[in-house]
Amino acid sequence: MASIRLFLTFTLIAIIVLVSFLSSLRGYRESMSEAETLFDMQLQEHAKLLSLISPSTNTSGAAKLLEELVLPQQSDLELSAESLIAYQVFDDQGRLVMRSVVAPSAAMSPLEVGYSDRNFSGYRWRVLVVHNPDAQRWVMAAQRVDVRYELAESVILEAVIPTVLSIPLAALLIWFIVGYGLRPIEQLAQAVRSREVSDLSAVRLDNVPRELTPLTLSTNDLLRRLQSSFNREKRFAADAAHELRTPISILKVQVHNLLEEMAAPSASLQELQLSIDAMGHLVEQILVLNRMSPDQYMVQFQPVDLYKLAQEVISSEYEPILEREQHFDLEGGSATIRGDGTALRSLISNLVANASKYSPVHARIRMRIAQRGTRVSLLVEDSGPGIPLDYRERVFDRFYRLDGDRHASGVGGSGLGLAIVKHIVEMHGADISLSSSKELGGLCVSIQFDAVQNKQDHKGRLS
Amino acid sequence: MKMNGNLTTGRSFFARALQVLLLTLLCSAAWAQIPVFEIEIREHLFFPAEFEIPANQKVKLIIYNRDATPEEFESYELNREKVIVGNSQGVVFIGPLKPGEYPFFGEFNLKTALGKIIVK
Amino acid sequence: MTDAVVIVLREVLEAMLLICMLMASSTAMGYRFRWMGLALLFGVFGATAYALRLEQISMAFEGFGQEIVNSTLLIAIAVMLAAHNYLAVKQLYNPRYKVPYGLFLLVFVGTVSMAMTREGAEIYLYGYSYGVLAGNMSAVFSGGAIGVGIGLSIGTFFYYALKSLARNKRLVTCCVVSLILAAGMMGQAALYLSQADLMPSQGALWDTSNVFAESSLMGELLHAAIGYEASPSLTQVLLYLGSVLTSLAAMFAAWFLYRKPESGEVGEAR
Repeated sequence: MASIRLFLTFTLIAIIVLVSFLSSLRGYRESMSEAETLFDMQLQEHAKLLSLISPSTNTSGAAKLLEELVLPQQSDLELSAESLIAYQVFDDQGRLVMRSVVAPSAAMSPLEVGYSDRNFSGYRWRVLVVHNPDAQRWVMAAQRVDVRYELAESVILEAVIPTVLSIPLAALLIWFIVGYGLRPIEQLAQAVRSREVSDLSAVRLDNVPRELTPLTLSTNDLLRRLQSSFNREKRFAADAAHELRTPISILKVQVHNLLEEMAAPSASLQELQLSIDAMGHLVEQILVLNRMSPDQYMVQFQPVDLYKLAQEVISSEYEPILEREQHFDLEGGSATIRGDGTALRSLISNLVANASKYSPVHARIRMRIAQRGTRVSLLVEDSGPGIPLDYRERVFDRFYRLDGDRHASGVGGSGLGLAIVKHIVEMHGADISLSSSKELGGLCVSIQFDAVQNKQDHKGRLS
Repeated sequence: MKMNGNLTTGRSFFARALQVLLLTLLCSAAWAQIPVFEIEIREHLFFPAEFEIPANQKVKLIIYNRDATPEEFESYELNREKVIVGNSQGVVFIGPLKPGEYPFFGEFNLKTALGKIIVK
Repeated sequence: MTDAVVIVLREVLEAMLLICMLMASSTAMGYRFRWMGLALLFGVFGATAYALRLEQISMAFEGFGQEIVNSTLLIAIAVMLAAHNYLAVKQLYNPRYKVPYGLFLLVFVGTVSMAMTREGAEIYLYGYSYGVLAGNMSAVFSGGAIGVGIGLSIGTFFYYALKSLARNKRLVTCCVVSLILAAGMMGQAALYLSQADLMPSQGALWDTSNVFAESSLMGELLHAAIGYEASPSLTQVLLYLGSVLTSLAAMFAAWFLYRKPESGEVGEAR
């Protein structure tokens, strides 16, 4: 993925490198040519000076060595020895009159006035030839090219090296500064990313930079519109269910009356009555589901004894279990959690109804409520067919029913029971898991609540 | 110093075949008639720093590097570039060239290793 | 120090143009930059090996080992670049086709590591002989750093310029760049071959050194970018054009084979 930070860092460093390196390269070149000029001027002054000194005409044949006359011992000049200028002085006949120690005895350059570069004595030299017609002298002064170059460079490099060394530091600073400058984007992303799925409230950031304000505003606008359409959709389902209640009750009464009026009970009318009951149940379940959704429910938590609540629920809804001749056990003891009585009642009733509905006649169902440490567990097991592993996630979805509407048990249902259970579990911050019951062989629903301190052992049995 | 002796034996068949093929195809000039010139590198200097070669003729240039350090013989005008390892020699063919001056240099010691070929 | 700058910059610039073009191309082909690590590894290894074995290489082939190795590397790179163009055009006209990773690695890593072997060996030799052996470390260091810095900076801009293009345009631009780079390489290969007398050498066809001297900054830039020579010979020009034609032929072949049948007249850039 393209990164703004990398792009800015790399291009900024590249610009700095180009500008500073090219300018210091230019500076280096200027300084070097300046130094060349200086060295050339030095040569020129020496040559001029020499052309003015007019040693007695060389008659003996051997050229004099300049250092012997002018300079102290070479050892005193160890450091500058290499940079010494080599001289040769010729007369107009081209005879060597005088030379310095480092100069060869052969002419360093042809007798042509001006600067030139020559190779001799194993080095490359910059040679200046000067002619003084009055004194009838040719003077040659020469400096080693490599020595001149090294001297100049050693000075000028001192100015270049800091520029080179400062680049890594600049690069590091640029990296951090660009990162710092881009932090509001990171913060905005973080603020959007870290919110709850259902949280559609506006994003609030302090000191939003001007460039990000439009983005923040449009994000918030989007969230607001999403929130309102979400609310509308939810209200619609609840309103529709609510509005359906009255006609359904009327239908029920009418069918009941119709059945009373008829002498012989009609089979299809009885079917109709059952269907109307199922529809009524479905509408009730939709209402419960809406009321129980975590972002809707006005939570009023109070200490609730789950065991006592379970006893109540089961005794009031024992009829279907009796009808199917199923065997029901409630085990465990008093276990108090903080929760909402109505919601928890709905939870237990749904679980019991499910277990009974989807287990065959004569099946065994067992509910176990126990406190273990800080957790309270509610277990519902049955000896029914259970739920295959692959479907265990999906059964919590709204209107999802195993094998569609043709459930193996042949019973009708709304497909909302477990969705309601899940909502209530989430509302209480509890965990739910489905597994296979080891003892009974059917489904095992396990819900773990946080306990409230008070602990009391109690064992009851209901059958 | 002649390099022919032991090197000819190490000559690869491929190179020879390619050479023979190209030579017979493209240049009728006999291999043996190519004039040979020699230059030396000592203390990062060329000896001779200036020399003449005949115009409009291919020339074989043998460069001896007497220094311990490698040097790159290079010339923009001659379009030549060859690294010569320390204490060894290298061969470069140049030309045919028009009369004129063709500077060359040692790229690793640009301040001192300078020279030019004068084509006449 | 300027010598160090020029030597290093020339090699780095040549390598950077190639590498950045291939990086941009790999983004267009949908591959990330993992291949770069492998290419750098092989490149550094190759350069070191070449520099250390230079003596043996030089003595091989009757003293023309360097020329043979260099021209072989150059020709191989040019061939790889032609293959790159073929694959790029194939992918351009066949949206469902993605260059297989193995082939991609072979072409990209091969090209970069061979280029680095040649360029890197020169820098290594220079740094070793002038810097270490002759004791000019600070000059070589600062010059080398400046050369590398300028080369990398130009490469950065080149890469982001290519990257700013839309995918298809980027792929086409990369092909054009690769075609020119490959032609420059073939021109250089011709030089090496005639230097070793394996190819006939003739006089220069023209001389533009008074317009852009090869030693000038502009000349160096042009040399790195389009293989500029001030006074090229006939063989050089022929190989240069031959390489351009080969690359074009590869691209045309890919276009011919993989264009959509119903849209035969689509332009190259679409």
